[in-house]
Amino acid sequence: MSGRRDILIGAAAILTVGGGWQLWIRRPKPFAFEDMVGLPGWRRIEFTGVTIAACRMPR
Amino acid sequence: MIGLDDSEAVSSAPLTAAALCDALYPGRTTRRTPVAVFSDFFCPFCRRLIQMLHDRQDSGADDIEVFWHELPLLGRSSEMAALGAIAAGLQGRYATYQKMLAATQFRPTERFLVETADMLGLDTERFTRDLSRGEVETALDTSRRAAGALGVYGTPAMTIGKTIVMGEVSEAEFDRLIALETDRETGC
Repeated sequence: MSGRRDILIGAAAILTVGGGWQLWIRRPKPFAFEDMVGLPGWRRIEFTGVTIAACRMPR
Repeated sequence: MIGLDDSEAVSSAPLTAAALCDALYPGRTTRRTPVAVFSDFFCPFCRRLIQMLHDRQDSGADDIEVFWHELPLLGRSSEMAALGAIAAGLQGRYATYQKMLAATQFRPTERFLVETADMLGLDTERFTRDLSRGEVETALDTSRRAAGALGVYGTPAMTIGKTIVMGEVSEAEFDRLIALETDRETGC
């Protein structure tokens, strides 16, 4: 009986830690805006990664 | 990179800062937060963004006013599709045409574009004429110049009020950006 209870407690602990970890890594992060030189009032934010690199203007 | 065509670079001078808001949000009529979207039909991330924004509007969200801008960067096919969407817009059907193209795998021949217009009940004779009309080219050029002025070098890209957003964003991130810009009231 106590073995089964220990397993349940262990599983609950794993789920709690796992869920907490997921919440932590998916938490909303502050945005990092940059002011635009030459465009007063404008600011810019870039979400880096493959998305913008895949469809970019030729240089 | 595959698919890039050197002839597709921005060809016109960028817009001045003063002209930007009018170019991005032409005929803005509401006080909802304006969002200008730069996209290319052959950019898969743009298709996802287009779908997300249409889904958002279909779900009844009424906090933004979306202005679509074609920025075809991936060659002649992208440009053809962009011209088709703008030509459909001259008949008031841009969003429907765009939604259909974004949900379809296609080669944008003129025949395909006209058949799509026909399927959506557009005047196909007018559509065919419009494909090569200056008004369509001008709309495309204005979007390119606005992109140039903002330093937009790829798609998907957006402006939300006076915030430039480069790259793909999640729906949650988009909602947060809308809330921040609405609070900022920059007057664009």
